[in-house]
Amino acid sequence: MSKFLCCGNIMSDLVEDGNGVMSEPHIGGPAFYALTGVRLWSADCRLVSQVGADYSRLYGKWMEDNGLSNESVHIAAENCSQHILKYDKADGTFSWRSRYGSENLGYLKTHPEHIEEAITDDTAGFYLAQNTDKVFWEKIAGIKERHNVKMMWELEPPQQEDGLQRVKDVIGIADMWSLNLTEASALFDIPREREEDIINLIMKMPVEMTLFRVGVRGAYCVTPTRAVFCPSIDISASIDPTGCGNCSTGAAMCAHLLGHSPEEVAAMANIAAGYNAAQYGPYPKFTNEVMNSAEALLRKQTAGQPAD
Amino acid sequence: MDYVIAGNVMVDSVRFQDGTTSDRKNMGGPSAFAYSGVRVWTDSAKLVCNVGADFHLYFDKWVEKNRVDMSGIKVKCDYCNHSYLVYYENGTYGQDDRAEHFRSDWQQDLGYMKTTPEEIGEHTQNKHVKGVYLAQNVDHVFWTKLNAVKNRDKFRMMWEIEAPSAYKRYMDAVLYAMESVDVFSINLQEAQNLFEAETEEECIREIQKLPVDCTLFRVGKKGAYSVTPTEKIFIPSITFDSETDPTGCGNTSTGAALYAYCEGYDALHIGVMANVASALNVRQFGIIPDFASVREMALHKTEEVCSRLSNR
Repeated sequence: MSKFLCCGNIMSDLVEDGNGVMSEPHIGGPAFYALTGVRLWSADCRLVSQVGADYSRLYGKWMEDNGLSNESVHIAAENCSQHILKYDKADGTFSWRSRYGSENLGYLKTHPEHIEEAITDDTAGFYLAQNTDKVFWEKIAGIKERHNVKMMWELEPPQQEDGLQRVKDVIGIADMWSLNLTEASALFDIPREREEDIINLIMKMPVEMTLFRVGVRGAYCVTPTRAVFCPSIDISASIDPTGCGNCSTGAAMCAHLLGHSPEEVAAMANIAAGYNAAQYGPYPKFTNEVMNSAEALLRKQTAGQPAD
Repeated sequence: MDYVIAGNVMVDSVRFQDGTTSDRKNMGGPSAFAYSGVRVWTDSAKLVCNVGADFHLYFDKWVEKNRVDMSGIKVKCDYCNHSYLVYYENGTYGQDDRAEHFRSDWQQDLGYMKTTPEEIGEHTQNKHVKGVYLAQNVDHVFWTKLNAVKNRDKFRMMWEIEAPSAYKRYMDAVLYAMESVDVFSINLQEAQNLFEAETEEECIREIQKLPVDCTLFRVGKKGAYSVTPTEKIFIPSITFDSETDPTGCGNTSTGAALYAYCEGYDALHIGVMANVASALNVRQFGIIPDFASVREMALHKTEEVCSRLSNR
């Protein structure tokens, strides 16, 4: 039984240095990072995912340390998805490749049926990063008709020219939405500098709340009538932003479903992102002390006081 | 149904080196072709596969004409797997780099739509299925699950190995998979890679050591060998009236071999029936359009070729 479900792909990143030596895998993936964002605020959450047989070795300790169940995690293949990031010294850029192939990644994607199997009477909502495939969304719509649950949709940007229409065709099925500035600029065909124009269009989308993430600066919580900005909140020095978008989205879902105000939703999202950025990989252990610290920081933030 | 044919369905566009192309997108994919290889001989076969909503554009007429049982077909995505093949002068083929896939995440959907062991099991449990076909890689978890389904439902298993798994470094995984396999299918290039062998004879020697009852060893335009641990029979390619597109000939012949094996035919018949089905496939782009219209000629050709080869 879980109030918040974080559904979808998990994946690990390995970094390859100039000599071809691989790092240890850093666990992650959209659904997993979203789970960490929820977990900061509530232990009543569960991962819903198809994984590889190496899941226990890679993710087991973190899940156990954080008191989370694996009952909706299904082993379907030999290997969890992994990406290899290679740093190019010459131009300072990263390239990446899938270690086990895109086909393996697709085989491990969460199906609507998996989500429905995981829903219990006390489930308030679920997170999913997803594309605009209509067949998939029709099945999600059916699930929502049968169960009293809400959906946070983290946008996987459409590749087609009519991407905005494809988003509009399905977004009414979601209740909450999350996208970043680059995605929004491309989707609405509005330059990044014109955030206000982008926000105006987001407000017209048929969702209760949108987390509009604007990178290192912070995020907006946008409703049909308001847009509230919250600057980034550092918990400590920022080490690695990988997964911050997914993490903040999970936190925003949790916050919204718990009835928090838009100011609090944005702050809770950014606090979660701050914890996530403080190290490579996920925040290691959400103790009661950590959760209490996060709550205290939230109270300070929304009382108008700057973080310590 | 006696036969469950599982796996990917695709929509194929084909280009040849002389500039010829398929005039349109055609039904295809390993399971669709293998299904056709079985349907040449029997109507008691079911496709178990996941498809896109555009399946109906390409398959509906064929489904209606051939009374295809649709109960094993699930629509999971907007689009079927669309495949773009180019044939080289030596008869081999590959993905056509010149073709523009209309979606950049098509490879993910290929994985998303793969048939799972659980989905196979939905159509074999308590159904007294004789044989199951699947083109598959060597994923250990997949084969463990499939083995459980097979042990429960007691069918014979035809495994057509997927080319990326046919390499010597995967031999342990291949042998693990074969614990669940009764009859096997592999082509020359795959066998050369799997056994790090050069000649057909070398490949056959290795094939005969495999723990399966029979292997259909396909050697391209030349034909195929039907190989058991104790015998090897070469069956030259068979021609009916035309040769238009070899896409799917391997899968089609493999489906036919599954049928022949499960029905108790000897190694000679297994190979001949495989080649007859392949010869029916090569006559057109895409899948054999009308099974009922070719069954009699398939049976006659089989009898004729078996008789000729027996008297050699």
